Amino acid sequence: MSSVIELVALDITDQELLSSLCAEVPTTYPFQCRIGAAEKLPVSALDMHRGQYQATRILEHLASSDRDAVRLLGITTADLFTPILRYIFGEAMLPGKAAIVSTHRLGNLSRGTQPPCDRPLFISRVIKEGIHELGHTFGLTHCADPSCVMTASREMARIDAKSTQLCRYCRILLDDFLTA
Amino acid sequence: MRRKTKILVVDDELSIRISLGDLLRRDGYQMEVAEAAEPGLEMLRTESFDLLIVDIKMPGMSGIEMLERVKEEDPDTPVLMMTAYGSIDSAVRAMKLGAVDYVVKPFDPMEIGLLIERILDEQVIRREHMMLKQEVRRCGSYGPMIGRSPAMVKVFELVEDVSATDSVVLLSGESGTGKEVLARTIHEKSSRSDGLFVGVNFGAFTESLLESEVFGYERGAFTGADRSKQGLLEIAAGGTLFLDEIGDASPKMQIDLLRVLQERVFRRVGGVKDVKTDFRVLAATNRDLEQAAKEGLFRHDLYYRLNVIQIHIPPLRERREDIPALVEHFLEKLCIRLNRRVGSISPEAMQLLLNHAWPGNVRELENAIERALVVGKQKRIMPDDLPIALQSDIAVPADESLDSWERDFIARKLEQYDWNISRTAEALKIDRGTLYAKIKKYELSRER
Repeated sequence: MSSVIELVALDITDQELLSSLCAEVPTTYPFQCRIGAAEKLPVSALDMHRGQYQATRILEHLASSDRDAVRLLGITTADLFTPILRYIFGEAMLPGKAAIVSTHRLGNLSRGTQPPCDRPLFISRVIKEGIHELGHTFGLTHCADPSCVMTASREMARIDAKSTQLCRYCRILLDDFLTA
Repeated sequence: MRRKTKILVVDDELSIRISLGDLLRRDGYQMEVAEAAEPGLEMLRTESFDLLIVDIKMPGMSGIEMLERVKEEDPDTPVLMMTAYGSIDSAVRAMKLGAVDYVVKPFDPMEIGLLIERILDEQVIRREHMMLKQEVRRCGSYGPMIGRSPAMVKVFELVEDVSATDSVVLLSGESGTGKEVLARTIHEKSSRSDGLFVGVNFGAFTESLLESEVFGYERGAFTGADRSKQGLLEIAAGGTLFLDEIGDASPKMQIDLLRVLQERVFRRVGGVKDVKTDFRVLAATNRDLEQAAKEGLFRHDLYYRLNVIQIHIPPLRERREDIPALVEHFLEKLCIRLNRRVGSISPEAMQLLLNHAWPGNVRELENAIERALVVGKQKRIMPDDLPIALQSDIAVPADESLDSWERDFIARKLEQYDWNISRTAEALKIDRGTLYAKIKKYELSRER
């Protein structure tokens, strides 16, 4: 099995953002990271009524692809939802092969619903959410430590307050998962 | 080890069950789902849940009807209702019927997590409040175990060892030695300390009352059971179950307990379904259970299940060196409770405490100190403040045999009644012939 985590750009062209995230992933997970071939969002995931994309359908699409990677992390500018939540910043299989993160509500300068923020802050939010969703694919659940990247990302202030790293306990749980 | 919080989601829509299940699992909750009210109610009868999340609009039995049934059968379980826009009237009705709250689908991600946390926190507070009320009713007080004697140091070492495990521990010792205090100490030091410590005293209730308290009951199980009730086995989930005076458990109760210990399942009184549960078991007895098992009074198989690790707490008379430290501890504790400012104890009073045989062990010592604080008028405890039985104690003989105790006790009583045989025999509740035989046996004579 490949030992690479692959980033999949889904209708996003921000190379600086993808490179920043790709550089950060190996500092948390013991895998190399590469930027894979970009692709379009699956049309089947679009909910015309809500004007949003259903994240679980995108995950199914990614997981069924023949990309040779230990994990796939999709990145998109589209607004995501699940049937039970009005919107989400990201979604992942718990555990599983695929995860996705959306920049739509993370303060993107060009589009999205959040007030614009400066670019370094925007990039750091995307990095945290990407690493957070990858954590779920390795079986990690939400963490009570507010500085841990696995703390629940329900509001922007909590995302900004947490680090890009796993806390000591989540690192142990990750090791347990990878060695099981 | 804190038990994972268990949530049951009831919704006819598959995508909602999946996405809500995923959402809650990511928060670390244990999830079960049901696609309709009827199977949801069935699951509720066999498993304990910390929260139900129920859709109001479902084909067949509606969420409102399900809520009514839950409140009848299991009123302690909180129910959060889900509704779509346009059905707020139903949500309000649900609140009146006892739902803990309602939430509109699809949820705002910021709100739902906080709402569930709040409901579960309130549930924990409610359960703890219930246990505290029970504690207050029992007027129980407990503090750390006190003792520097070699015997108690050994006990504490064992406690340290067993606290780190999830093994069954059997605590043995005479009444009043502190078996429950030790059990609580083990619980507090264990990985289950976040859970509840739930005690069951098999010597304190009639069999039928005990059965419904321990196992809980279903509605209609007996006259007056107009609603279902969780038993102590369910309340103890995630924590420690303390089986006190286990030697007094009836043969029927012994069979049920054996099943609980072996399979971790039980049935509520009047129930037909097994209920799974998870707790650590500590048991205590002042009886020789091994002997009771040999005599057929206690089940062998249950004895072997309970006697995985045994900790024997020695009686106070075998660790008199601990008495000063215990006195100091009780003085400190009771002065606060009784609002007294008594800082010490006179050497003469301490000598009386050291001399006493303490058949009621540490509990008797605590009672003696409490009495002294209540009746004493000085800033330290004096001999006169102590119970009469202690004031008339003679020095403990070097030989602690029963004969030696009896000889000294009879001699003291004879002196007290000026060798009047009739009055002494009456005080000792024996006949005069027996008293004469004892005087002859122990070669007692009046000192002139």
